[in-house]
Amino acid sequence: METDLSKLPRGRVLWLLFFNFFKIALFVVGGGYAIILAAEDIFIRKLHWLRDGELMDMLAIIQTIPGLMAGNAAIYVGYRAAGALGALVALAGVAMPSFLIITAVAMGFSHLPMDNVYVQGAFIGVRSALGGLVLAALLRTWRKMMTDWFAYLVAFLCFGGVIFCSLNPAWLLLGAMAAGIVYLKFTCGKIAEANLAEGNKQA
Amino acid sequence: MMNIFHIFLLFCYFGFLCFGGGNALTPLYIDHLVNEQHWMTLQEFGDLTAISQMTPGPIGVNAATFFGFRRGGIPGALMATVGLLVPSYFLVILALRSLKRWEKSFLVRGIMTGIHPATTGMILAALLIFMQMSVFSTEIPWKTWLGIAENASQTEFFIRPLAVLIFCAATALLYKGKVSIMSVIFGSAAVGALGAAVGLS
Repeated sequence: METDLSKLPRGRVLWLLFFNFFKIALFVVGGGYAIILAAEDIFIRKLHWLRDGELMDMLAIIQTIPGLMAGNAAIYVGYRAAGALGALVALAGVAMPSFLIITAVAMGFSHLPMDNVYVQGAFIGVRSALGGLVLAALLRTWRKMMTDWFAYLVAFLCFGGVIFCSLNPAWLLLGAMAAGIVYLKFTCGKIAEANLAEGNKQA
Repeated sequence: MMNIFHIFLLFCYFGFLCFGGGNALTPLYIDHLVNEQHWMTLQEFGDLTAISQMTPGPIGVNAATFFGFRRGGIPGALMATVGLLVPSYFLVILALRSLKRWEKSFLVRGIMTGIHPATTGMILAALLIFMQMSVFSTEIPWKTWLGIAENASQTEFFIRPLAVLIFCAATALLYKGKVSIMSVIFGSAAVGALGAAVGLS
């Protein structure tokens, strides 16, 4: 329902971009993927500003462009919703909480009550919930992403590379891109041959 | 003035080089800020990493803000943060504008064929990492289980029952998409804090 987006006044769109990314950066602890998926939950699943199922394109672009995943997610959603200005506003929203909090910490204004039992309990609760967010997204996209043996192989190698060998994700992604091109070349050739054979039979 | 400009350029450079997300920044920061420029010691860098992991917000932005502040006060912090994000601002927009045109090309389709399952694998890894910070008390000691551990792990491995409950409930609620992510986050924070109050974990 992108019509909703076009009906909204531009100022309102920009405000929602800023405010939601500010909220995400403030409350979603623990890294890039959680932030991307939280943004998907708000902007695709709730507001319907982006195409349904655009998450996969979004993930591909966010991961291949250098930069922080949270920042790239804000730029992607902001640009798709409201152009270059939208991207700027979303980016400001995602960077603002860190900027304010870290500056306060660096100036010695605030002390983080990290050894407090309740704070730790709340943190464990939030991280458990974000694990659920990640699992829910995996379950939703699994069938679209994992189409054949090649997909399972690449996914397994990337998972193992990160968890067991602590490889830099960038190298794994680069390898996956190259493998994807080779694999497509190979299967495309086969499909073309099959089509040709089919054509010969019919003729 | 020169100093601020220098901070900006340096973080632009980091922004260009951090492929694969903010984690790629750690080795860059150590190389340039600790070993070459001597802006801080490795000990201070360790403290900063700990602070960044406990405070909200993307870790890369946290670190940039902190370094910038150390070198040039609030303007320095601002320049470092902006510098880090500027390269990807232009690159993502460029990618979005040109992707439409190249969508059908063989090269882009091949890249996507590889990236999609790779992403699934990475997210699976992110899931495990999240669980090791919540549902499980520590990293899964798979090396110990396989008998190839070099030294016995320091912390005991156990499963937190309340965290399992929150994890399952959040998965179900978010999969259905009926409840917003923010309600789920606040709800789990409340349940987690309450659990700590009554001695559950």
